[in-house]
Amino acid sequence: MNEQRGSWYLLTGLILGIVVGLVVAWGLLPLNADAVTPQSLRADYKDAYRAMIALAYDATQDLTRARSRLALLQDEDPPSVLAAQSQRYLAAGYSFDEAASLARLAVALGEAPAPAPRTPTAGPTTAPAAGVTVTSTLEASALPPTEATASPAAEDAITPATPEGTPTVSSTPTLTFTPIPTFTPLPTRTPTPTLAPPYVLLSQNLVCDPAFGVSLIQVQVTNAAGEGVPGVEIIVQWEGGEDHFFTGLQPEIDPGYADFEMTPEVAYTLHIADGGEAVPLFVPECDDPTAGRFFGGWYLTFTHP
Amino acid sequence: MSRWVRFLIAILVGLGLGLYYGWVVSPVEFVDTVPSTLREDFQTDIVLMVAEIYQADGDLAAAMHRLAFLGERPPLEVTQAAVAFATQAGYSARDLDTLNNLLQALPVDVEATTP
Repeated sequence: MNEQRGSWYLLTGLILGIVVGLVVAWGLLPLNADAVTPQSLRADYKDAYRAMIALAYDATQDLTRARSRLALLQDEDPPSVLAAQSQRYLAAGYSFDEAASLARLAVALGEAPAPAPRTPTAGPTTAPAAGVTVTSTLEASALPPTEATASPAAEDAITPATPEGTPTVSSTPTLTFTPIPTFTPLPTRTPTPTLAPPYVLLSQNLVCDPAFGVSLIQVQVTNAAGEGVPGVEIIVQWEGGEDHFFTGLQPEIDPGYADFEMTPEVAYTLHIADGGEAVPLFVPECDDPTAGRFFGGWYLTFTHP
Repeated sequence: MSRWVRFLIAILVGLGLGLYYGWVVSPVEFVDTVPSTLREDFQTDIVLMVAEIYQADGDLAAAMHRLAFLGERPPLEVTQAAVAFATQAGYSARDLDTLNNLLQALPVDVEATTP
């Protein structure tokens, strides 16, 4: 009986020690309490963080610093994440400046894969074949070089430090302000490209691809060297309506690419916001031996002469 | 060895096991945190971003709004802490100037912006 009692009190002591140890390790003195990084932020705070990085990049044009800041978030593909956030911001009605900043940074990251200055490449980027059916080759051929991760050595603005206090783990954060949506537009930036308008319509191709499923106006805007130009505002009008969209929001396709979904039996007019000729458009009807009749789209290429 | 000594040893062994498990095997992971819990250097960099944007657009109201990203502390206090850290950590003169420009522009008696 005495031996039994001995075993029980030892076990009790062991369990008591384990419980105290876990309380200390997880609650009182967590190991990495001084290492809360941006990567651990809640998703909406990460969005606000990215937006601030993009605005700061617009302000300084310091791509190395922007890259190192983005690396802290450990996104798998920062250009794509930035572009997607830009589109979400536009769709949600956030300030255009923030969305445009995000898009510009996405493009800048996609265009500058190496720390060394980039040498511009000449030649057209996404001109479709001069036939009737295009677009299926667009995504594969127009991918800009993407480069996502930044060198840790580039983190010139981030230095290790002793924390001021012990951060707390918060699965249900208590802050009540909304960090994202209402930053004041920056007056010094414009969404226009560096090249002077007007752009001219270089080509207009019918797109008949049943795989698309929707009727798109695909627009490619290039400069005189054939490089895609981001940030170009395009206006599409129809009876009783108008919409504006911008190149550069899908850098995974091309910095100068944008598209707009048409509705059948509506007549559209499209033109570059900064000037140039208006292009009348409608939803074309295509006929395919296997897919039958379906609605197609248009692929327009504008360039600066 | 008395029972109390053995009991104490058992507690210490358990404590060691608990600490080992909590620190090595399964340490705390920080998820869904808020910006105010970020390490001080990261917070300082956020203030630097705000200062860079402010230097470009001169919009003080927007800068104060952005500083609210870091919590409910007054913008002035947040920026002062950032300047102190940046100075101590040896930030470049240009960055320090940028931070100081923002610091000097902030009004003294304004509480944190709460959008």
